[in-house]
Amino acid sequence: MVVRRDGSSNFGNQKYGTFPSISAGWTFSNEPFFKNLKNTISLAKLRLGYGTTGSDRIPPYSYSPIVIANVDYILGEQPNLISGMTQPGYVDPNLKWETNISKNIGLDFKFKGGKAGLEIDLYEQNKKDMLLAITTPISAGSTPVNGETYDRFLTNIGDLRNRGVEVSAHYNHKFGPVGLKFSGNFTKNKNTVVSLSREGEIIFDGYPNIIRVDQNEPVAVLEAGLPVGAFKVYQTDGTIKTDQELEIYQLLDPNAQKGDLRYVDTDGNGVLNNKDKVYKGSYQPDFEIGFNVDANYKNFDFSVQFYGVSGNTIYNGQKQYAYSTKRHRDLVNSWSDENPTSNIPTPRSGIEHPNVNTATDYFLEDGSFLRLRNIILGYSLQNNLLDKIGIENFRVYINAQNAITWTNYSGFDPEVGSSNPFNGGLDRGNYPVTATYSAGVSITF
Amino acid sequence: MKRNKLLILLITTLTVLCSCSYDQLNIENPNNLPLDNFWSSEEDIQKGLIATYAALQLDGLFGGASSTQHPVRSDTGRPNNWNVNAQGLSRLAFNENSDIVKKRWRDCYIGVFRANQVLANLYTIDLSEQTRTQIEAEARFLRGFFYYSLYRGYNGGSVIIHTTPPQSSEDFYKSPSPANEVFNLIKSDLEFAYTNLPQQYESSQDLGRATWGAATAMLGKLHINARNYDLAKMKFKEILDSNLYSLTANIGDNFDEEHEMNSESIFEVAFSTEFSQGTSGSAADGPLGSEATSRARTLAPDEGGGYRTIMPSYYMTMLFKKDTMDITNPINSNRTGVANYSIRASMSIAIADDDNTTIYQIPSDSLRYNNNEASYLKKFQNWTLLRESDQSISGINERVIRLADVMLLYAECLLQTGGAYTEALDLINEIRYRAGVVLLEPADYDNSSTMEHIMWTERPLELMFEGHDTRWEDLTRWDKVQEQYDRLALKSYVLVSKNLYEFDPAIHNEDKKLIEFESAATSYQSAIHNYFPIPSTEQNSNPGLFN
Repeated sequence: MVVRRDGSSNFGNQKYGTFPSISAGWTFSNEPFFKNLKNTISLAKLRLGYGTTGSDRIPPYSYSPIVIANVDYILGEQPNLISGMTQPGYVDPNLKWETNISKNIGLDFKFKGGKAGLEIDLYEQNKKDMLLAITTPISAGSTPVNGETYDRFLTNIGDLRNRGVEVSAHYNHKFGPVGLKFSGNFTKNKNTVVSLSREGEIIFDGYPNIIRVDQNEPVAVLEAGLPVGAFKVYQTDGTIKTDQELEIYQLLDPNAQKGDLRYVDTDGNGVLNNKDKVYKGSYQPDFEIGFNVDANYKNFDFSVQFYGVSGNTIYNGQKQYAYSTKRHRDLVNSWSDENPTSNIPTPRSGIEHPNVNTATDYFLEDGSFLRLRNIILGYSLQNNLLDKIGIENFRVYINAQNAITWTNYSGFDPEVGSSNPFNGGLDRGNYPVTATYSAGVSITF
Repeated sequence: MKRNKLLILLITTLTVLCSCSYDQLNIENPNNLPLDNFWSSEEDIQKGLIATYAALQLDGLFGGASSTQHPVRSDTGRPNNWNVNAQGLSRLAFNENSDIVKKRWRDCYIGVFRANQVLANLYTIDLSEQTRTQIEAEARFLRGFFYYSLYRGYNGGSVIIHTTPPQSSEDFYKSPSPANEVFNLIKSDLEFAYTNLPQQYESSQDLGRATWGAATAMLGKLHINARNYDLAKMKFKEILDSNLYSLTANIGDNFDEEHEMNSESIFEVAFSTEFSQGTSGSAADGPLGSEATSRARTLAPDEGGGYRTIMPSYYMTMLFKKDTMDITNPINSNRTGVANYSIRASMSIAIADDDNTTIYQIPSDSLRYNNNEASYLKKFQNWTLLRESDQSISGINERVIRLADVMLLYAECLLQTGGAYTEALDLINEIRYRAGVVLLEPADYDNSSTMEHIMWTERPLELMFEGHDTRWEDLTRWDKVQEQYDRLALKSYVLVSKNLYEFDPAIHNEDKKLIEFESAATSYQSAIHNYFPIPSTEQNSNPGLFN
């Protein structure tokens, strides 16, 4: 058991935080009552943990407002540069420690001296008073300065919860000359925004297109009750196909034409604005699985590894960009008088046109996939001759990494990710993972 | 034994705690000046006020983006063939995500925040009463000015009001206030400035600061755009009666760098290439900022090293072509070319057959006029140079309000309040005389045709591409946007060897016919297009917006 009390100069009026931790383990297979089972279950252990840690990982002085120079103007009959100074943005003077509270309960079993094993973990991690830099409302008037982020302020945005279960198991067996090992793991994790510090707050961020950031609208949010980094965008309902549909839709957007995307006025108030944006999935999958098989037969060895996720959503930023520059192959089949049933919006000049606005569900896709991560076939030569010339092991193998991916995602690679929760599901033209095919010889002397 | 361990643990922890004193965790920021030490002297307040003026230079106010995009929304400008932003705006296809919609909003509020900083700290430091009042009047003039742009520009005039710097996030998650509250705030700010600003500054060092004249003119504009013609008339008359201002002899003096802050100038936004040239053309703050505007290069033709993102509309070009020079006017004694275009035309735009002038040191007809381009901008361009700066910087001040504008607004007030149209004509003719064009004969006019002349001839000719969205203010005040778009969409033109003519089916080939403002005429709806919507950037950063 440990209790820490930490102080940090990164905070202003709330410099200190107290962080207790406790953990315990109990190998109950060693207890007398377990004696009869000991032959089948060689190890049984219960783990319990409760830990709190604090985070002050923010730039120093973030709590203290500053004044900047070089905000100058010209005055005088003989023009003179007069120096001006201003407070460029806001800070939160009440910044305090972010606290990570993790609770877990785990069970470890080993069967028959390690022939099989099972580990189960249930965990809950609460991030209390999470520290994050969020955009100041534009109407607050922060000064944009190249290379600075005065238009954002760091604050303890609220509480996030990460809850999940992890199961991993393995099993070894020998079928005559064939030795087999199966192992797998299953993870189900749910990351939720429990509450935000300010009621009704919605924090937008996550720009899917890195080339034209200025024309982007952010697509991900932190909002109480939704998964972290949930997509919150305008819902679309195909294209406007008939004059009659157009006439109705023009009440919402008088500039609309046939072939334009039809945004849904979800609150039905006759105006399209941020209030109409709806939750459309998140980067978090329903579950993740991994599955490995290792086999050996005589001098051959073989192993495969699979990895898959299911139920996550990806924002296809490359598709959005290609649409906005009218360079996407889909656009061949876009709506036109000759192709009046198409739901692909007609390309329009104007990178700010609603058809290519980033903040719609049009560019969201199911990100589920199953990937053959690794497959190896090897053969080891064992020969007296080799021993004589001092070679202990001589193995030839062929190996393929990321050879096959089963997915419906239309971008290059469904395996997107980011440490920034807002960018977790954004495919911003990320460099895809490479598939590697190799053959080799390994010699041990 | 166990108890001992616990004790040791406790002692260690306590030891650690004691070893660190609170003071060591209080560190002064060595990189930036903390706000705590600021706002403590008159010098600080003056610096804050300068920063408030500096906001005027930003892209969405008077820097490049604003002056190079706004005119295409009105009848005075047309976009080039490839700039989709300008094309969208000219079709009225702007939305909450459009560049100019976002920038103008942002930059106005930057100004508001800076003004509020000055005003909030003005009474906490030791100042003489006179200094305090002077600073307060300047800061409130500027705040009123920024709010005026928001009020005229956005959401039917209903915008977010901040009169103090927000202290916490709760303060800045605000929803828009009703338009009449915004109006009242602007009015009270400008009236304070009107009462307390000097007519002129004693020191020539202070030239360029807001004056009584600037506040009076802005009050007049506020009232005339609210169609309070009587109140507006009083304000404009005060300016005319003050004899502080006079028309310059040469109209071109209002568009160049050499004659900034001249006798006609009521309020200007200063730019310069001499100081802090920065890394880009647009004026910006910070160590790599710039005091220049990118306008000139953005609007210059190819031959001037620019992009001609927007240019005068065909309508505007024809107006200049038809505004014939009065050869009896001594102003025109040196204008011996064949073309009959006025000096006002030569100083404002480039027309191919204008042989009384040059552009970027070559004859007007040496420009390409390709892509169906009929004319290029010269107003606020450095067209006497060989070419615009490759750094996209220009030092020409934006003339925000000048006497000619006020004279025409006063003439309008006269006509709207039952005054004599002849008095209005006198004012118009004063401007026309200086422009070197034929004067209007009172016998040919009456009250309503004088107003028509102001709306469709004199104001566009004299003031096109000036001010901050001035033409749009005019058209919406008169409620004439639809009428004008409809009229212009029916007109057709043709370019024959670089020169624009009205299309005549008897002479010209049908496939050479040029038409403009067609889509604007179809899409225009006053309720939707008179104002910009609240930009997406505000919607995404302000969860309190729709509460």
